[in-house]
Amino acid sequence: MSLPWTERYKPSNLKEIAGNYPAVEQLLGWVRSREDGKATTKRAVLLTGPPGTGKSVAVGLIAKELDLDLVEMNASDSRTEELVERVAGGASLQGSLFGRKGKLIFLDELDGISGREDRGGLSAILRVVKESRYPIVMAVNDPWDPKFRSLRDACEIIQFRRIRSPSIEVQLRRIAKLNGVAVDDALIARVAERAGGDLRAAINDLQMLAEGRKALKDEEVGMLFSRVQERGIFDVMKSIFSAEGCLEAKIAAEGASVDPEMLLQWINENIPNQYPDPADREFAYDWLSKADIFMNRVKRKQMWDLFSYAIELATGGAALARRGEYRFTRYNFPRRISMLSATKEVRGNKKEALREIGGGMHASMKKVATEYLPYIEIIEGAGATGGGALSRVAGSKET
Amino acid sequence: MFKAVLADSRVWKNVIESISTLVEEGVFLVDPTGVRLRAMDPSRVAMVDMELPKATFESFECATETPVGVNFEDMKNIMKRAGSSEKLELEKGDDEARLKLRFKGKSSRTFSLPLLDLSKDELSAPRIPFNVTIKTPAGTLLEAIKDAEVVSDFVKVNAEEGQLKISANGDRGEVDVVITKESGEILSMEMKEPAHALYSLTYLSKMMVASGLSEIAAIMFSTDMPMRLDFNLASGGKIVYYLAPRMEAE
Repeated sequence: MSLPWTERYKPSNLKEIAGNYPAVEQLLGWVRSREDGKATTKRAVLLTGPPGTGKSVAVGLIAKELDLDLVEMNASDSRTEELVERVAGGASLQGSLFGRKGKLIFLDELDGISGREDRGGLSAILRVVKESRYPIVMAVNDPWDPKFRSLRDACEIIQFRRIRSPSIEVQLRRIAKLNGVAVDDALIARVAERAGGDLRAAINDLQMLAEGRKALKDEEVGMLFSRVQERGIFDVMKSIFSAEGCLEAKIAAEGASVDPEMLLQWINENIPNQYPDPADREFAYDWLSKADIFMNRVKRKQMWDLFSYAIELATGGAALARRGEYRFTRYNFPRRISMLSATKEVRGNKKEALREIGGGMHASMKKVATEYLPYIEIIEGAGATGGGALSRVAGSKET
Repeated sequence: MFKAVLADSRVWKNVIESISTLVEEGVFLVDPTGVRLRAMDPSRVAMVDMELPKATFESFECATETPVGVNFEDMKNIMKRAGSSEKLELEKGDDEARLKLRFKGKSSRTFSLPLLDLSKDELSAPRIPFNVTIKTPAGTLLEAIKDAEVVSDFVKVNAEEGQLKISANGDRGEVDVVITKESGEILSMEMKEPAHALYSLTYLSKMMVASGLSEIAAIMFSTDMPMRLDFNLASGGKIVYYLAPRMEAE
């Protein structure tokens, strides 16, 4: 089995790292001063930045450069607390087995820690940071997640940025050459472009296209699906509403950082914002309602594979309702949740009334709600939807 | 491919237990001379170095070096099913990604364990000059470590002329265990200069799992340097542990 190219062509010293020189320098400086026993502002470093920007590679090479024992752990594991205690905790108190003068403790991919179920993991990390006699470096993709607040305070933050396309192109060309593949410049540019600053992704894509080949032409990049990147929900909404066709809308939705149910809520909330024309709204809502049917089946029958149909119908409808150019729109957060909490009491009263009426009339609550209640409301007079009027009705039935 | 038969399946069971106490997964290297494994615990503080030469086995066939990557927890669970007086047959075909473990006693029971594709970067054993080498009954050392665990989570090991002192103190009290030549509990002692060092009991007690395999334990260390702990198996082969010293409290 051949090695992934990302492994085989890993940089072998700090100078070979592509991009992010200032961040690498800063990290090297910090580890050095910790090693020399100089006071540093913070006891640990938090590396932040998107995947594939060189965080782990930099840490590995710095350990090599300074001849430190590298103790690594990957925190995307469910038993984080135990693992942190065992690996980082164990390493932080003992000397080196190989007589090296120091160690570098590296906790990678902390994003995997779940804030709620794994609270112990994060506090175990903070404990180790406080007690460790060796420098500790951590890496996360998104440092602004609320669960990392206390960690952010305890750490110096060093930012890794997306690697610019020209730097990625240089690496891709180098690797292609080492493999003896003649590659079109246009293709290199395309692969670099669609990687979106993720060098690891770009190299993986190149390997997929080029391994075992002698030459590659631009057209062949079509073999790659565009890479899904997690994006903010406002971006996703814009991409869905501006999509040209169902496929594009669906792909836009794949990068959403919210779950499918919430995504439908977002579409639901924003159709009227996007489409002032009632006919367009009708079209979009019609398809959204069909999506909702699938969504309901997902929940009732636990048939998770129906999710994709719900998403296709909802996003496709939202996109195809557009006639003419996309119009810039401010999207709102779905009000469903706040409305649900605001109307909790009224809904509670109504439910109570429905139960009582149903009891008196031998009908299900659903039937009362759809078939009897509208008439009762008319009889009681317009605007009598309030709990008071209804319970009066319900009360009168009982007597 | 290889095929190896052990006369007593419990030897393998004990060996696996002595490895799995420190390491979750690792690679056995099987070659015409026998079976070897060297692995580090994830905190890189302790290392286990295991060797079962060909002679340990009742029969042993292996033509080329074969790496066998396993999850030790899974293998340990299989080995829990080993009965006394059962033979164990280990077998792996050339293109198979599975290891067959066959227990042969009254019946023949075959387990098949999926193998892991692990990188087999060869670790080199730490090269440390040891100033002290002491051989003591494994049981005596085990008791000393259990005593220390009562009061602390690390021990001070101190070697002077004719004696080995294992002491611990913590919030829960203090303990001193003295093992001397006179009492006959030190079977042999070589000392270039006296030595003392601290070691974590968390790791030491895990290593003592191997004390069941051997009558004698050999301790080697120097001041504030890693410790080496050897267990020679009665049936041939050995298990060697290395442990980094604990740093003195500041």
